Formats: sequence, C-alpha cells, structure tokens
Amino acid sequence: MTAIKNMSGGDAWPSSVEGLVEDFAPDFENPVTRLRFLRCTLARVEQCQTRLRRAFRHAPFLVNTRFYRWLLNLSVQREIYDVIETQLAVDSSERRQLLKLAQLSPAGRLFLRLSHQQAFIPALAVTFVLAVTLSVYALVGLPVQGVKSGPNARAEEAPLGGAQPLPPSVSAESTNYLPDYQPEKVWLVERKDDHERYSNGLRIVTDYQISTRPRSYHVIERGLEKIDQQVRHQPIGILYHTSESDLLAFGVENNRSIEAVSAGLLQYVRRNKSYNYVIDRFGQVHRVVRDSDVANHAGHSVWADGKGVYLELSESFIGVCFETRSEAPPAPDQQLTEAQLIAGRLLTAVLRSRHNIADANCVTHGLVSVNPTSMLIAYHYDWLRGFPFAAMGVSDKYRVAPASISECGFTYDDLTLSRIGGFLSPGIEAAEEELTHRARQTSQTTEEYRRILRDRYLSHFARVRKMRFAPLEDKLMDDHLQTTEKRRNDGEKSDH
Amino acid sequence: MEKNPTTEGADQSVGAAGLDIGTSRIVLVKGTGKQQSQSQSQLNAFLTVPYSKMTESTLQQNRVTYYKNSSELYVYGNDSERFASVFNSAPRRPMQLGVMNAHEVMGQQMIQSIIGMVLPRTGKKELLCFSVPGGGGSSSSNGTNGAGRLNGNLVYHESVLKSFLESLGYEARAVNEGLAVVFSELQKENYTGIGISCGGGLCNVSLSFLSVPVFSFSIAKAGDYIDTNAAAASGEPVTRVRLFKEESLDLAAAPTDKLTSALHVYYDEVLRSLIAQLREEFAKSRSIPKLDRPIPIVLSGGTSKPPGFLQKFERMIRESDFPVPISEVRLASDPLTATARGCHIAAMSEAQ
Repeated sequence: MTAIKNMSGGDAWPSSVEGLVEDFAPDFENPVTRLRFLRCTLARVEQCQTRLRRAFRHAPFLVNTRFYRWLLNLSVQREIYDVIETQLAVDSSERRQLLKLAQLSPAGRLFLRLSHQQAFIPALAVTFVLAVTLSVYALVGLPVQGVKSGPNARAEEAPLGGAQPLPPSVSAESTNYLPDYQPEKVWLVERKDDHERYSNGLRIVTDYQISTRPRSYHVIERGLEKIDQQVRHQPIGILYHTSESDLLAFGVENNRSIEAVSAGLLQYVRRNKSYNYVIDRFGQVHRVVRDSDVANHAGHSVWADGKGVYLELSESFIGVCFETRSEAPPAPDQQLTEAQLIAGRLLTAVLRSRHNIADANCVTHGLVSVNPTSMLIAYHYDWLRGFPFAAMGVSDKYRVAPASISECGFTYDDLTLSRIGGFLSPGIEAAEEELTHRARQTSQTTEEYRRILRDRYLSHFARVRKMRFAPLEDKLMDDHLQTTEKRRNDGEKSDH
Repeated sequence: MEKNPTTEGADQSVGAAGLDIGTSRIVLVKGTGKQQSQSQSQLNAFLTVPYSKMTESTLQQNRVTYYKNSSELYVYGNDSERFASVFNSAPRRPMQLGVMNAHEVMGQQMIQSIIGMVLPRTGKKELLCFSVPGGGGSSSSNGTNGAGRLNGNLVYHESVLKSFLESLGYEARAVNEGLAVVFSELQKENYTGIGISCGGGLCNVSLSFLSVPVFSFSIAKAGDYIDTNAAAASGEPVTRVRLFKEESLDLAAAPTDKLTSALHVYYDEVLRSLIAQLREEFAKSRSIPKLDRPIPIVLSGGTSKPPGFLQKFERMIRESDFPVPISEVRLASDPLTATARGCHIAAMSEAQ
C-alpha cells in the first residue's frame, strides 16, 4: 500500500478508507481529473464496504479484527485501480504512471486478479473463520496431552470453576520495584490506523485524536525582568491532571460500566479539547490532542525552570490526565490503578524522549494553577498532594518552591488551605520563606515585596497574552491591572 | 417579442460549461480542457424605456442589446447600467435573494435573454453545470419568512432554469454555489473545506469532505441587504451606496462618515449572521465526518471584495470558538468568477 502522504507537512489524516482514497488524490495534478477520481471512487468504496459487511454478516465479531481491515483496504485498492483503469479517461501512459505509483505488492496483485470473482470474498471469509476455529481447537486440545511441568502444571493445580481474584490495585506509594529507564532509548516501533506502539511497550490509541491550533509561547527571564521575543512552539513540560470524573469501584463486576464511563470521559475531553492525553482506569493511553497543538488544560498557571518562567502553561506543556479523582476514591488504595501507574511511567518516558523534556518540568496541575484576580495559588488543586512522581520516573516536585509564589507574588489564604485539606507541600512553605528572606534583603516588608512581584507578573501576563491572540474575557485582567495601577498611584500620592 | 439583430444565435460548441446565475451577475466559464477556459460576465439587470424610433436608433448605433415590444424597449445586461443614467431610470432585477423575483413580471424572460447573451445554443448535448443557492437555514438570521419559503422558491427557480438551459441544447445539472467555490479553490486540499459565496442576494455556504457535500445552506443577507440598509441609515440613494461600496470602501480603516459607518455596521451584521448559522449547522448536522485536521475556508463573491473583509471575517470566526479547527481563511483567486469556474470544473469532471 502507498505510504500515507502529508497534505501540508503536518501529521497525516487518520487512515480510514477515505484516507486511503485521499492518499491517491495528490497524484492527479489536473483538478478535473482529481475531482472525477474522488467522486467515482468514494461512491464505489461505499458500495464495497456494504458488500463486505454483508459477506461477514454471519461472523460480526470479525468486523473489528485486523484481518477485516486488511481485507477492506485491499478491496478499496481494487476499486481505486478499477477507477483509474476504466473511468478516468486518461491516456495510457498516464494510466501506467498512476498504477506504478501504487506499488502494489505481489499478494495485492494476486488478490486483485482473484477478487473479481463474485464468490471470492465470501469464500475468503469462510476460510478465515474455519482457520480460526481449527486454531482455537488445537490450542485448547494441547494441555489435555499432559504437559506436567512449567506454567501449565500450575494451571492444573489451580482450583477449577472459580476465577482467580484480581490482584488489588497498587496504591500510589508502593511502586519502588519499577526498574530505571533511559528515555533517550525510546522510539516509535509502528504506527497503525488507530494506535502507535513504542519500544518501551507503550501503546497509544489515536481513535479520538484531533488537532486544535499550534503551540505558541514566550519564555520570561527568571526575576521577570524581560520577555524573550522569540516565539516557541515545542512543548517544554508535562502537566499531570485528574479527570474528576465519576469513579466506580474497580472490580470485574463493574467492567462494562467502567468502560462506558471512560468512553464518556474521552468524548467530553475531545469535545472540549481538554487534555493532550487521557489514561483510563485500565491503563490505556489515549491521545486526544496532538502534542504539537494546544489543549485547554492548564488555565492560568505559572512554572519555572533554570531557563525561565512560563505562564499559561496550556501553550507550553503537554496535559496528561489520569482518570481519577483528587478526593476520596471508592477505596483508599484505588486512586490510581497499577495499570495507570505503569502507563503513566511509560508515557512520561516517551514524551520526555520525543520532546527532550527536562525532569524539572514534569509537574502537577495543583502546583502550577493560580488565580490572577485574587493572586492565590491552587485555583485548581488536582494532584496538589499524593502524586506518585517516583513511579513516573521523575523527581518529587512537592519539594520544589513553586515560582508562582517566589517569582510572581502569589500566596494562599485560609479558605484555600481548608479546600486542600490543610495540606501544604514542603515546596510551598519553602517558597514563602524564600519570599520573606528576599523582602528582608531589600529592606521591604513581605507584603510590599509581594506587591512588586505581583505587578511585574500582571504586566508580563498582559503582554504575553497580547503577543498572541487574547480572548475577550481578558477584560477581567485589564480591570485588575487598572485597579493595581490606581492603587499604586494612590499610594504614591499619600506618601507625598 | 422581436429579437435584436445584434444578439448571437448561431450554434457553437463550448465544451463543458459552468454558469453562475447570481442575483447581481451571470458569469459563464467555458472550455474543453485542452485550452485555457474563457469567462464572460453580464449584469443580471434590465432597463425599460418607452419605445421611440429615435431611441431604438440610438441603441442600434451603440450596438446595445435590447428587446422591443409594441410600447417599450428592454435594455439588459451590462448595458442596462450604462444607460440607466442616460434615461434617468433605475435598473430592474430579474432575481431577488438568489432566486427568480416573483414580483418582477418580466423576470423570467429577461433572465433567459441575459443568459442567452453569454451562452450560445448548441446542438451537441454538452454538459452544463449551473449554480443554485443552498436551502435557507432554520434561524431567524435568514431574513425570509422561514426556510420553507426559500426552499419552495428554490425548487421552482431550479426547475425553470434547467428547463430553459435544456432548451438551448445542453444537458443541465445544478451545483450548489458554495460547493462550486470548493471545486474551484480547494483542489490542493482534495476538495475538503468550507466554500462561501457572498453575492448580491444570498451568502451561500457549503462544507465539503473529499468533494462530497456534508451540508449546505444560505442566508438572505448579502450585498443587497447591505446596500439597502446602509442607504436607509445614511440617507443616500442605493445606487450611490453600491458604487461607493464597490469602489472606495475599506473595511480595515475606521469609518469616517455616516455612510462608511453604516456600511461597517451592516457588513458586521452579515458576517455575524453567517458565522452563527455556520455554527448552528455544525451543531445540528449528524453527518459530519471525523475531521482530524484543520480545514480551510474560502471566500468569494463580489461582497467579499472590499479590502479588510477577509481580515474582519477571520477575526470574527476565530473569536467565535468555532466547533472545528480552521487552518486558514482566504479569498478566492478571482472572487467574481470562482462559482462559475467551480461549475465548469464540475461539468468537466462529469463529461465523458
């Protein structure tokens, strides 16, 4: 089959049958021929799909298999060649050129020859069903021969009739047994219609994948002195979230319901472009928004690394959402399943490897979220505590002084504290101490120094948003800036 | 009716042809594909003057196309505008809001005559695709008495035109106007995207996926709506407003007087209605395919020509939280002939 071709240098269309037809379209330079090709082929492809579904009507379970998809793709190719040969009214040299571009394999050519026989498809379907049935019989039959050693012996010794109970899901703390990894060695093994597979075992499902708009952000120097004018487009970090969706007790009795809830979550995320990735409770990783594009996950947020300060992290960070809740889950040890922990670690490795993301920029939403109107931290507080950084293979950011306090003058109040269960990470306490220390060094009170940092933050915040397209609700921020300016002027007047 | 001897009548071969039958203009694009396609355009308007031998002689000397009956002379096409000021008379329009003007007694005859100026009779049963508007949207932004009335007029309009074109010897097929814009401008995107034609009577929109129309609609707010309302608001005659709009208006510059201000306001209103209807169609359509890639929007039509229109539309659509990602918004390479060129491509693709 031909390789999927890029339309404009970005990621390819999903490889549905329409995508397969579209792969051929750019080979027709003439707009009339291209239009004729698309119109003729799409109509025939639809008939082809109907015929195939009818042929498999007695074995509907095969419709979701790779064999069915392979058969469908070959059938579509047959239609495409038929259209090129019979309907496009191109001259013979052009026809040969177009068919040569298809690079049909020997199996494909043989298939094309045979597939013109009316009974071919049904015969192929019946043959496949028979082959599967015989294989299953052979596999089931083998243990009866009495292989006494190895894993089968244990299977014989296991009690008959009752299924083994599922192992309890592992709590976030007890994951020290996971081996170290080396992110630079992770690579893409294969990309298929609906998933990608990586060398570390990660499988990313791409059924829900969409594009939004490309990333675009500026880095501010530490100390908020000035903004780097260069516009950047590569993601610089990973932000971990919780979905705060409904959680059922994680057990086999809720299997279908858990799947249904996950599907509903993915639909919601896709509709609202909420995260780049979602890890469901079975540990399946779904890419919803492309890495290169912005998802609406971070809101107003601040973080810093050695290179600079980042505002509004949706533009610069990849959003990874675990399907779970911050508050009391059904059972204390079920906030994250073992499968989610493993998937999170593998995904973190892949993302860090692909985008060269530093450990320092793998952080949780609760630690970066801010409210610029009230200048308080933890506006969203998912993973403000309890995130298993070690299980993800990254260092503990609860010990890091958040830049929102130390660089931008945010703080917390009693109400914020009560909302997060009275918990303050060591990093937040350290940031407050650092702020007080710096204020003392400049012979100012903590509040005066905090106000200076806030004004600097708000000024940069407004400038950063104006540098890219800013939605109308920024009027709220403009109001706040004017209030701040007025307060400063009033303060100066009263001093005089 | 006596036909003017200057009217063309001989059988000619055009190859496949595309005909844009718009409220303001009728445009033909023809060609066989082996040579560069040609286009012709005529104003979709006519003028009546009382008959006199002197008047008729003047028209003949100036090689003006006209019809004569016992008491009146009918000047139609491009010449109608030229002679409107000479005879101190306003041109009449055979079409209104994208379809036959039911209040214009001479409408059907005139439109056939104007089409006859650009489209010769043929004996070879050549394929001709002609543009028709989309059905009315369901929202009140339509400006008609609801979608049902517009759709009913559309059936009659299409039927009359098809019948006339077939009488000229063509095999006539209707193509949605928005879809025709997609065919003419979105070849590189494999005919996937949104085509918008902002004409005189209607704005026509079509979403296409690999040349298959997903949905199409039209709103009855376009060039004529802007002219009429801006004229009422500013106290200027409609003809002056239209002339100013076509020659001097800059939507990127701040308005400097009452007329410009009124034009800005009504342009904004047209764009707001268009974008709102587009969002509604996306929300209610059940057949939208999985669009995993941003799609382009192409604008065409005379109403989209003023400088600043494109930027205004792009700004408004990006501010509106559009349901699908948009890769770019651009103007057609030739906004006045895009629909006709798209019809021509459709005709060529279906011709054997």
